[in-house]
Amino acid sequence: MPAASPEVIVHLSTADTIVSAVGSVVTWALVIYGWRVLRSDESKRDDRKELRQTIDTLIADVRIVETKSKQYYMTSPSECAVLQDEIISDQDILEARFTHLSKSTQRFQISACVAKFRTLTTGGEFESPSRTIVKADSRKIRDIALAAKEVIFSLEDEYSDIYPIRLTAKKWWFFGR
Amino acid sequence: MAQDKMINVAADFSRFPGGRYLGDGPQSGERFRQELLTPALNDASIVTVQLDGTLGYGSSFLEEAFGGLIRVDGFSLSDLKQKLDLQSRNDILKYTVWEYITLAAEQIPA
Repeated sequence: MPAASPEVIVHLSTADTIVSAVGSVVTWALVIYGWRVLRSDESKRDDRKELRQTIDTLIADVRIVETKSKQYYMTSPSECAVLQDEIISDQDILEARFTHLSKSTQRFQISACVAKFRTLTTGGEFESPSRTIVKADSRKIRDIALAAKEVIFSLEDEYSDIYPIRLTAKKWWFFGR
Repeated sequence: MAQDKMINVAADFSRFPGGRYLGDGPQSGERFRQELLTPALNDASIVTVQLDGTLGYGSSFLEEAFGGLIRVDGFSLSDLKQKLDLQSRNDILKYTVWEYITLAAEQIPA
């Protein structure tokens, strides 16, 4: 085999250097790209977790107002002044949280649903000393329960719209069996 | 020319508004409407109502105070849309009040 001329050796050496440099750049680019993908996924997971926690808090708040309102209408007006104030205050805080959620996400436009819940819990004879006491199976109590459920469903619907449940092929196979 | 007027419910009326009618208590929606809201709307071109700063509102208070403007005091929906400016950090509260006003307007026979 003939020996390579000095010019060829210089060319090969330059090509080697270029390939090595490009390889190094590509490696770093891949590392940075991978890091960014991981960061992005992590950030999405955090956002999802934070939204879920906010919704869970709101659902708990709705349940509290629902329970207190039912108790209020089933109790004599003379015995529930404290409960009455708690409902008003809790409802106000609940609505402020809803407002914050819809402003910060530009979604959850469910004012109508929450307003209906408010009207059922604190409308009509609310705060009237001559209010009629109702039974647990009365229309009033059932309407409050239904309105609370509608608020919760609206929250869950919007959440599942933002983060639909993604089932992998494996899970589909599992569910199919 | 009529001047604009500002009503701060917590400062000018009560931090604990509640009840629908006068008979329900001294901080009722009916009293708020009769003593503050209606006179202000009659005198001023724009009435700003600041709703924040109270413990909260029962719907019975809100319905009587604001729905009553149409049902009892004879204001029209378009009057109130021009003259009434509601302020609160709680958007749902403002939405609810306008719902009561609109509903009261719908119930007035043409």
